[in-house]
Amino acid sequence: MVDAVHQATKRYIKKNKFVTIFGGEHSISIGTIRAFRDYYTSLTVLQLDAHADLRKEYQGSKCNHACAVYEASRTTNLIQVGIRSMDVIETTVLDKEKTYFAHEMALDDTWMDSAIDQMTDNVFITIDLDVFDHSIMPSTGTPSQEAYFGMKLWNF
Amino acid sequence: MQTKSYAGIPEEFSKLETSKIVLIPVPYDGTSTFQKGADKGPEAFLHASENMELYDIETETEVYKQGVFLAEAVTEASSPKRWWMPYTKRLNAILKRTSL
Repeated sequence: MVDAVHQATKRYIKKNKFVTIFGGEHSISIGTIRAFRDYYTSLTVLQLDAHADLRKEYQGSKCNHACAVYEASRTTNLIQVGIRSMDVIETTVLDKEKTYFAHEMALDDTWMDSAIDQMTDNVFITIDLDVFDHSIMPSTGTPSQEAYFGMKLWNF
Repeated sequence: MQTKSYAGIPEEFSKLETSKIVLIPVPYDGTSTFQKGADKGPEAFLHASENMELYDIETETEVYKQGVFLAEAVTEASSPKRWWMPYTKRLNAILKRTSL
């Protein structure tokens, strides 16, 4: 699947299109980000998500949804926004300077400018719909409460 | 995919050659661990898009006029990864599935 998405994405980037991929669960982003990396140097990946998705491997696979941005964390300028759920093992991978936790975002609005300042010119945005509070977006694989309400996130 | 275009936009705005934007649906739910159904997302999204206003208040634009091409869905679902399959065989399989 990762390779199939990688190739399909590449095909349209090559044609100079503004490529948008919609799933499906978050593991589809692994191949997608790989394709954008093939064409853009110093790529920023902006991830809007309730979960860190930084596991190197999960349930025997490096291509599980729980590993969606592990590769990106090693190969791109990864900025994580809205995070409120993760395993302790992911703390060894996560870059605190570029991670905006939901509980901190709720208290302080400066995260928006700070995150934007950390971006390079080429930004790939990956949105896991569970970044929205489960009252807004209940129909996801792993809904998560305690954040993040609509308009403010769209404003960002 | 049952739906053939995004948001029911006129054909002149949905051809690959003249579209600036390409949408690639990936109806895949191979690794979720809690609630299933992510594979139904693309069709639900496209279906809902048909009933959406095309004018955007905030940006005062009609983005679809840039052209939005809906690509064939990526449906390879045998495994999250297929490293062992020779590259050419994989590529041929993808080309075979697509009409472009």
